[in-house]
Amino acid sequence: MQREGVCLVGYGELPNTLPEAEGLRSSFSYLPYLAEAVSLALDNARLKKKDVDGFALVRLAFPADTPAVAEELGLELDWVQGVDCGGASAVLSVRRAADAIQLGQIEVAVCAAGIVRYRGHPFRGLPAYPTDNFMLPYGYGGPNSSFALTQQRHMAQYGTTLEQLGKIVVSFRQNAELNENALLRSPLTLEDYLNSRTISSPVRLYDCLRVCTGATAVVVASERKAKQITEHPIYLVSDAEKTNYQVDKPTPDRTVTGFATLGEELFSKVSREEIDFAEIYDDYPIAVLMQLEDLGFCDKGKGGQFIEQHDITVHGDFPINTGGGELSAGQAVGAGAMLHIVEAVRQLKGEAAARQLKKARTGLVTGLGLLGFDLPIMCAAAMILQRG
Amino acid sequence: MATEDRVAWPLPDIASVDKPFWEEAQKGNFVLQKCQDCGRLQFLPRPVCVNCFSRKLGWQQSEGTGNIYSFTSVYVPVRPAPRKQVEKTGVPIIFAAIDLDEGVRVLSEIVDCLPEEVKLGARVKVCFEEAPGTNFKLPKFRLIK
Repeated sequence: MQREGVCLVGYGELPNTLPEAEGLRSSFSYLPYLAEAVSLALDNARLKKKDVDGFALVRLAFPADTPAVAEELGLELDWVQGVDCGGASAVLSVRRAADAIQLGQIEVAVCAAGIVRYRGHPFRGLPAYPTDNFMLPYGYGGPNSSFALTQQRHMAQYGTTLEQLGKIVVSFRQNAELNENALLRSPLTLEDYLNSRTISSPVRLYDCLRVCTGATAVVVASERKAKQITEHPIYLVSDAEKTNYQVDKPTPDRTVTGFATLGEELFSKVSREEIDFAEIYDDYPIAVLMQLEDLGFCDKGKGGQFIEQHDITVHGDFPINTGGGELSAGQAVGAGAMLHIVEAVRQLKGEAAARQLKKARTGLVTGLGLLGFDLPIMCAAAMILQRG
Repeated sequence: MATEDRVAWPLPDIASVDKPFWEEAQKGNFVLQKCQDCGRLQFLPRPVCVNCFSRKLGWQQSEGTGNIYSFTSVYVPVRPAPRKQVEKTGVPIIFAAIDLDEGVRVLSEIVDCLPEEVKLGARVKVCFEEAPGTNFKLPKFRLIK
C-alpha cells in the first residue's frame, strides 16, 4: 500500500559477534543486548523512552512473549505486537507499526530484534509439521537444502552460474570491509567462493550465512513527531507482503517467490528506476537473485545477467546490501533481517561514514521468511523508504 | 562414542492427519490424499483440500513413479543421526523433489545410486526402506535404470 505520514526516525545496531563459547547460557541473556539496541535507536532518533507508545518484537529468536520483553524494558504501551514471520518479521514489524501510526493509535513505535548464540547450541527453529514429518527423516539439511533445491532448479532452468552467484557474495564482502559492525570483513575472492566446500549441492560454504549474536532496533514515528526531530524525515513510501504464494499448486515453480506479486503495489508511487540502492534479504545469493527478478528489476531468469551487468558494491551503479548484508555482516537470527532496515535508514540519513553512497535518496528493503514443504519461501515483504 | 551411536534417526511425529499415509507405507503402499469433492490429489497430507477447502479427504494409491524436479547432495544434515551417517560413510544423502506422474510433488530421498548418476528429469520409482536402527519404513525412491 501507499503510505502517508509514516516515517523512520532512528536505528540502533550492536556489532555482530560469533557465538560465545562461555557465558551463563541463560535464556534471558539477550535482554541487555536488546536494551542497548533500543537505547541506541532512541538516541539516534533523539527521542526518550516516554515518547514510545508502541513496541514490536521480531519473535523468531525469542522464547518470550512480547509484553514480557517490554516489561523488562520498562515500557508502558498503547500498542504491542509480536511478529512471527521468520526473516520477513523485521520488515513486517515496521509495516504493522505503520498501520497503527496511520490509524492514529500511536505516535512512536520501536521495532526490535536480537539474540545471543552459544557455541554448540545450534538454532533449529520451531517444530513444524512438514519439516519434522516429511523432510528430516530423509537427511534434510535445513535451509541449506531447501535453497539448494531451488538453486539447482534455477541453474538448470535459466542457465544461472556459480560465478554469477559468487559475484553477489564477493561484492557483499567488499561492502562489509567498510562496516565495523560486520562479522566477516576479511577479503573474499571469487576463487575462494568457488573452491569452498559443498554443504548441500550446489550450495557451498560461502553461500551460507553465519548465525551470530546481535541486536538491532528501529524507531517508526508519525510525520508530526518526525518533523519535531528533523527537517529531513525518512518516509515510508510504500510496502507490501505476500504469504504462501503458490500454496494451492500441487507442483509449484520453486524458482518464483511471492515477491512476484508485490511489484505493482510497491512501485505504484516510486518507480524501479528511482531506486538508488537496495537492502535485499540475503540468506543465500540465489534468494537475492530471485528477488531482483520477481520484483521486476530484470526479466525472470535473467537475474544472473543482471548481476554480471551491474556493480553492486557501494562504489557501483546499483548498490545492494551496502553494509555487507547478512552473508557478511552475520545473521543474529531475527535481528539479521532488521540490519537491512537499519542500513537503509543509516544511508538515507547520510550517516554511513566510509560506505556512504553518493546518491541515497530512495532505498528498497526486503525481507523473506520461513521455509515450508515445497515453496521457495513462505513470507515475502518489501518496503520503499525515501528521504524527505 | 557409545552414547553417540545411540542417537535416534529422526522419525515423523505422526498426527491424525498423516497417520493413514504412514500406516500404508508400512505395508509397502504409497498413498496420496484425494479430495472427495473436487477430485484433486495433494501431498503432503493436510487437514483440508488446499484447492477447494473441503474436509472430505480420502486416499488413492499412487503408481509411485515420476521425474526428479530437483535434488541436492546433503553433506550436512540437520539431525545428528543422519549427519553422523554422512560423516562415517563420506557419502552424502540425496534429498530430492520428485514430480509424481499423478501431478503432485513429493520430497524424499534417492537411494542406491551415486550422486553423479542423479540428473534433473530422471525417472524414479518408490521403494520402502527401514529408517536406520528402526523397523519404521520410509518411502524413498530409486532411479529407473
